[in-house]
Amino acid sequence: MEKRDIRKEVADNYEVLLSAGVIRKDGGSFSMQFEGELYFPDGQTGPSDLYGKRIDEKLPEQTPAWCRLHQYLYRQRKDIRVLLTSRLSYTMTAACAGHEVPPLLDDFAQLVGVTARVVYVEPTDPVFFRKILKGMRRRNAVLIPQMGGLCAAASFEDTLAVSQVLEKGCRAYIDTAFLGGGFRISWIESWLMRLVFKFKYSNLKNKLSGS
Amino acid sequence: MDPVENIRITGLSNAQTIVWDAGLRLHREGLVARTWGNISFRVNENLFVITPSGIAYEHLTPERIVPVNLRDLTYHGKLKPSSEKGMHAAIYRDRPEIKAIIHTHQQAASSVSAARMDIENIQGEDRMILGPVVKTTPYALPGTKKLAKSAFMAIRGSNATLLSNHGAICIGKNMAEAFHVCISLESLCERFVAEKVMAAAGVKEYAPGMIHRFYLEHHARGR
Repeated sequence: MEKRDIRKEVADNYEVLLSAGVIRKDGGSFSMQFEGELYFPDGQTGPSDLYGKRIDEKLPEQTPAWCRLHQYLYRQRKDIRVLLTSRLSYTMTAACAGHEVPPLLDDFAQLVGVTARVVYVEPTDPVFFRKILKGMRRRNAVLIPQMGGLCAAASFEDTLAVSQVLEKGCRAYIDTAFLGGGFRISWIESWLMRLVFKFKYSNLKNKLSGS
Repeated sequence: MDPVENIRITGLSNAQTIVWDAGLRLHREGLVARTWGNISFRVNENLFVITPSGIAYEHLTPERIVPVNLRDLTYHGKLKPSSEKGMHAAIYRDRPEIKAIIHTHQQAASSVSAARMDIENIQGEDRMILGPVVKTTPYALPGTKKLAKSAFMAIRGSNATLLSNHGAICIGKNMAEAFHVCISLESLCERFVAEKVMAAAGVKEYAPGMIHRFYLEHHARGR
């Protein structure tokens, strides 16, 4: 794929996220990684043009912290190609409330993980990136108070789905607080569903896309 | 004659088109995302068609909608039918008047399903569309016989049921009616949650954003 195509793909996907309300122009982040190179939407990363910077390359001094975080996560998690910070309303509320969100819905267990953890960080914290990486361990999302839900997956469609399912899971958690509490799916069943989803459906997807 | 082997069946392609069209609408209305949920339509007493497994609604075509034998669940073609085919078949067998089934992962209904609550004593127009009660099934893993059995038991006497920690099943005598059930159910579940929030907040009117403010004030960590 030509680099120009990637630039267009990033711009198109950014528009999809804006129109879906997942991110806003004044909040939320989005990036894609292609063959070890970083791509951010135009105008999101300040004056420095980060297009095509390698994930193992030193970024310019003025680079925003969230861009450095994305670069760090791509380096550490070989399974992810797309990152975004969702600002959807229930995700924001759950992140600000500071509760680890349990698996109340099947698709949440499959896509997000057995829980969505909350990670408290300050951008000045020297272990800020490591804390987030740890929060995302064996998961595809983490909640960060004041920031939202950081979602990651291997493709744009999958990452968007993670953000939507995270929102639905956070909504179920908040709604059920007023309904006497939600019933969480057992840890074993959550893991089982996640494993089945990861292996069975990713194989099916590959088969279908190859046919 | 095996209805699945003989694929030239009256009404089959029409049924496939109905399901395909409903899939697009379901996706447009935000009642499902990606490949989640499934839709089926009864062709005759032995056959129904259902969305395939693992294909996003926007990538479907009418030809990709899978014909399935209602009695033994055998299917025609290369694509695998949805893993929830057993649940659809069980409902069709139990309710001969039903022609369309929609399984959604709609948001408000999913929340109520996670609380494993029944919505009882439904009144007015909702009662006409949904029935007197919307029950929630006991929890079962997706695609299992246990889920299929509990779904058709719970939906008896009603046009909708909630699947614990999963989503909803909506049925109708035609696809338009099943859609109407989905939309009414979502609205009912939204109002059901809003009433509980208002009761907790001690107010008589629900304002947008109230749940977020109230939750953060009363349930946030450290409160």
